[in-house]
Amino acid sequence: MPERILIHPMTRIEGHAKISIWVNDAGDVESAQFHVTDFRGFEKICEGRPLHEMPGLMARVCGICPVSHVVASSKAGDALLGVEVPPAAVKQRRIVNHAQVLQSHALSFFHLSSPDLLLGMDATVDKRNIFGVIERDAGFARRGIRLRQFGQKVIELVGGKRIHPGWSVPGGVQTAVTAVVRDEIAAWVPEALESMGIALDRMKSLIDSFREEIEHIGNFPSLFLGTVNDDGALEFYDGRIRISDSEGNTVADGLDPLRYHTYLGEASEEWSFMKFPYYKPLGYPGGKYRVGPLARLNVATSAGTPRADRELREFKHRAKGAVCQSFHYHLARLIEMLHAVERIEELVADPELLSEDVRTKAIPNRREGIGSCEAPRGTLFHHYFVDADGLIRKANLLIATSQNNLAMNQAVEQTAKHFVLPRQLREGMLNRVEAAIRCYDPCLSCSTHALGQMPLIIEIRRRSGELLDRVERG
Amino acid sequence: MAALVVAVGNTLRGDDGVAHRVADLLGARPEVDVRRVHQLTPELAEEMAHATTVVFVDADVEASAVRLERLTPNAQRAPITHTMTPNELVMLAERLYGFQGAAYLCRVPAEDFAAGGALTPVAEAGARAAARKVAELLNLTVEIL
Repeated sequence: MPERILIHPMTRIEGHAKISIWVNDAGDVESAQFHVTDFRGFEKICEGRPLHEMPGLMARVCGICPVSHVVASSKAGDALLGVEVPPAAVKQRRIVNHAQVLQSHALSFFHLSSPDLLLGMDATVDKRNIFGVIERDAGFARRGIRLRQFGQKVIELVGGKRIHPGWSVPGGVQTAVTAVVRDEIAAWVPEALESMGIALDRMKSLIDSFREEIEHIGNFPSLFLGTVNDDGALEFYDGRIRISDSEGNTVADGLDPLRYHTYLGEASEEWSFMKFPYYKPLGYPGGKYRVGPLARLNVATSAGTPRADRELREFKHRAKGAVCQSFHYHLARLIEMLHAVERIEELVADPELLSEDVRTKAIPNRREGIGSCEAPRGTLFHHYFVDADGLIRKANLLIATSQNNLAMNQAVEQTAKHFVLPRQLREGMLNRVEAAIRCYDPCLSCSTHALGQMPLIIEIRRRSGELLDRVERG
Repeated sequence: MAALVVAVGNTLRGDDGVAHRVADLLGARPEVDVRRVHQLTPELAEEMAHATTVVFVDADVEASAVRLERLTPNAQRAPITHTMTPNELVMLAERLYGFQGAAYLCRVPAEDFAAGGALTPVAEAGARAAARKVAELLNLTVEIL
């Protein structure tokens, strides 16, 4: 009888991780854990670096969501300089952050999760990939690629590079947007809006065929945390933190993101490199909360853009209180993509965007600064301390994916207990466990690589470590 | 666009960035579009569709000498992870965008992938040899010592 089922490495996620499923003497799943095996150490790397280098350095945290790190880092820098950022620079940062949400969500939905959604959780591994999606619906796959391309193009046009743009700096941004760039971005919008309408209709038509998955893949009560603006609407750049519960009640509102450390704690476990943040008033692990698309839509009163508002109202009807099913992260992601396209359309139509006043220069005037924004996967905080020369003495990064760590572990365990039958192990069962994690689209970052193989390995072991079975695919 | 060179790698991880050095050596020229990327992503497939010849250049820790090999559109494995191989990208370009050109992979010997911007002597020599091979393939006139 296997006592431990190991899924390693996990597939179709950003980075490297593994899942352990522990089996009891009766042969049933007893517990499951999601381990992150990457260790990057960015908080140590930046010690001693000059403040003005930080946004460019922090962009390197991730190849998928570098913009959010650039934006949060720049905002922490703004705070350290103690300056007001010119409005045109704020608009640039907003556009690029929305573009990143669009391209990151497009990758997650169309390339990583749509094989499960279009072909089914039990489709064979050789079909359950982007080529299987192309066989089923090449037009749908092309739209996914174009949406991601749009997001990447906006980042390149405004930020200078598709990956790791370093144009944003403490005090603003380095260059003004030209009318040519503005017009090029605006020209993409109609196609992107059309594609989002098609994708949302397709997703909503598929949902009913996943009733069991919706019910048992990460469906549990938790808190939800996200940023909202003064009207309580979806906000990605500036605003206040709102926390709500699974009944839809607001637990805390108007929280200052610059005081995150007073209400969010960070625990650690020896079996994972990822932190376990929690809501301090409820303790650890009782203060489990979720961030990202599902959480943002649960805490927001409205989206603030017309098309996304219609979708959000429909979305909120899926539950009496908050929408607690992790499976609905996919639908929430699409609504946020639609919102991002609408916001980009608004921002490029604003004449102030073309202002050449894009940076306020100053020397550091404070010793401690915090910057936050909404990244594709949730709320992001950068917290820096500098010395008198503006060199970083200490840095703390509270990353969105880590804030979902407790929830991802619960989702894995719930899914394994419902779907995995250790005595009759089938690939589709393990795929559902991986799908639980894919709902959260964790970003575990790997920006270096060389040619080589990256197989999925599933090992079944006794507690003694004896290998009973091993399956390799890829 | 007649030719597309895709230089793959991270210039902050030592020899992983050797393909970017190859791109530098080839230089800017109208007959070749050079794209520098950290990793292969699906949207490159559309750009490939407009090219008659595509050359991927990447670091290879197992290569002892520069190798230029023709790619087939057949994926050797299902792309189940977050990365794509050049073969998979060729297949994607063919199936989604009707790519009919020739695709090649240029493997450049690499040794050290630790953090840092410098190339090892092996990678530097490999970059020059790779640039010569790619230039020859694409009929480019380029002076590489």
